[in-house]
Amino acid sequence: MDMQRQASARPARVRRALIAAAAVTALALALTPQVLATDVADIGIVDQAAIGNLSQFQDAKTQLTRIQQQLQGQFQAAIKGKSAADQQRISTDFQSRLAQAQHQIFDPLLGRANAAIAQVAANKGLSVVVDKQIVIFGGLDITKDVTDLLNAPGQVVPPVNTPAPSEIGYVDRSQIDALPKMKAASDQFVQFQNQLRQQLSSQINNKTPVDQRQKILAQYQTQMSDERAKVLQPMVDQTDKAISSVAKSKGLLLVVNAENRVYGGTDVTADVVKALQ
Amino acid sequence: MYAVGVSSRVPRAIAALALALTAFAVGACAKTVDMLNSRPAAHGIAYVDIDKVVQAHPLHPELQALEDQITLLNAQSVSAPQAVTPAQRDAQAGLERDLAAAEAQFEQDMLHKREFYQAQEQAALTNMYSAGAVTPQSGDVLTAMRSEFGSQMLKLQASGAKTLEAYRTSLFKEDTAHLKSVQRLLAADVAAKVRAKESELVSNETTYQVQLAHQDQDQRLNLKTKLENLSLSPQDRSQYAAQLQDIETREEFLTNRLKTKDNAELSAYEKTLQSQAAARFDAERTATEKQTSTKLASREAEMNVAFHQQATQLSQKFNQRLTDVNKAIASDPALQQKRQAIENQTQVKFEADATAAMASYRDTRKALVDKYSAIAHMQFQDDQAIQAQVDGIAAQRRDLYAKILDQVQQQVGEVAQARGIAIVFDSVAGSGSAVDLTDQVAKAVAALPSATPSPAPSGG
Repeated sequence: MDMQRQASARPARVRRALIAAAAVTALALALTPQVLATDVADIGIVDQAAIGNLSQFQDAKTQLTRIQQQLQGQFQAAIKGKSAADQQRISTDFQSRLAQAQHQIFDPLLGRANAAIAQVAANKGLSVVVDKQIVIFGGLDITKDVTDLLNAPGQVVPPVNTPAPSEIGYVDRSQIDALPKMKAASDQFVQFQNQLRQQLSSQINNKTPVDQRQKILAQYQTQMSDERAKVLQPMVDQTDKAISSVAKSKGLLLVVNAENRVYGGTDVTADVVKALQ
Repeated sequence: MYAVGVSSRVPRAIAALALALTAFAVGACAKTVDMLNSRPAAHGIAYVDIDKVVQAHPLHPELQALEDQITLLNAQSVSAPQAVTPAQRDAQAGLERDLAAAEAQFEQDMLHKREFYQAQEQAALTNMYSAGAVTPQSGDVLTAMRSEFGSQMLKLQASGAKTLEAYRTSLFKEDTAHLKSVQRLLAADVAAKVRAKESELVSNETTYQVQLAHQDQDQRLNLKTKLENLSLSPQDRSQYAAQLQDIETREEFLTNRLKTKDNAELSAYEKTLQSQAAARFDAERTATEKQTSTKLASREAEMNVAFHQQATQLSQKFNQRLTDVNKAIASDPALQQKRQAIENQTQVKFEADATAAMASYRDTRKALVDKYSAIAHMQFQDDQAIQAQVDGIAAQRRDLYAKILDQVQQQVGEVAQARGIAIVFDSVAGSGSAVDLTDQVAKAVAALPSATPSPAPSGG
């Protein structure tokens, strides 16, 4: 009987042990999907500020500043004795001329820089390149390769192939901010902020005692925080949720803002806008 | 038995499943290890909410306090008291005018100070390099090189000038000889023509004299015959002699008149010839001079090209040597130390002077605000002073934030490495399947010692 009990008890213990092992293994797999599945070797980073400091960009900036100064002088002479409406019209005209000069000077340089980044990215098999300022740790920095290429004489030829599909998405915030409900919330908050600042200014001057200042400031910050939570936070939450939802449905690792994406990546703007409407 | 058989098959199946899962897990881990070994970057992606992490930092309250001060000062700046009465408006206008004048004066003073210290620094550096204060060899080498280069260039220039001068002299000599020859030929031509003309005129005069003698021949013969008569009365003799004399006088007069006319004609002719000869000579001289100038210019251009080539070679050689020597000087630690010391010394002097000037300027502004506030019986406000305070606090805030961020970055690195993460983003629009490290990093950052000293103010 004991033997029988022992015989039947042994498989049960073994079974429990095996089930436990299987469960641990499954749990381990469930907890580490990213680590096992993710290959981040195709994510590059580039220091755009360093590229902007290259001599060709600095020379272009100097050139643009000179043109700006010339236009400023011409503008001052042109608006002399003119009506407000004419001054406005002249101002628009000069701004347009300055913008045109800016395009003429910088577009070729930016085109060359983008071609250099694309060429280096393609040579290294990268599917996406982002600005260095949004990466706090790690990443494959291609800045030196890009600056070397830009400093070398001759034309920079962009790669023929488009970048490979990437697990890093990007979204154009300006399109989201332009959605009616987002714009309405933003306008409402800005209006509130301006009113509150005016109130604050009227309550404080250089004779206001320090303790009273602190009290007024604390009140101001609480009101701002409350309004932010009431008006802006719901929009922020909705947007975050929509972006995360789109990212997950497309199997993306994360989504960055479009202005931080330099090359490649997956554009999810349309999907996010659709999800928010 | 059946029961036993069933019970033994189920654990076997479970065991097989567990084994398969374990094998898969081990395989996956092995793959990950392989990836780590071959490509260190191919491993995990994460993000952190940097604002939340910074908020967890022990120094965050200090950061918040600085931000609050900035907000208050900005609010104070916006709420400047407004002048209401005409007297207050006048006082405000006076204050603005005096503040602008004080600012202009201050900027001018600062400009002068900057120029003064720059000149002082430059003089000290020049003195150091030329005198070779630290390494006499360096200064001597540079001086000798400059002297040698200058001497070589002068020699080259002198040689070129000498060659050109010799060529110019030889050309001028040739020109002089040629023009003298032309002059001689022209003079001979004129003389020959004059002689021919003179001969022609003399011949004409002779012919004329003969004609005159022939015309008067009968009358002269008649008178002479009469005069040979011895019985002729003295009165008649005198009359006939006078008539004969008249004939000769007339002939002589006519002959002389023709000679005078011929002389004038000959003189005019000679003058014309001389004038023509002078014109021809001038033309020849101009042509010769032009030709000589062209030759000289051409030679000068050739020599300039040659000089330029030689000077370029010399300059290149000098510059190369200068670069080498400068490199040697630049790599001379003693000299660099001396240079750095001079620059630091000048900078310290300038900063001390500028700080004193800035303090004086602020006092001036404050005194002006107080003066006009008393005049207007209201409290004016100096927005520039407030802005200076804001800038100073903003610089402190920036330094503190940079310090916090450095520490956060270090914590992120440690957490990421511990979790096998290859890249961490600090600004994302939305998360997908990447790992959120925010809480873990925030916890690590919050545990940092809070007694971290505050950074020194960097401005204001």
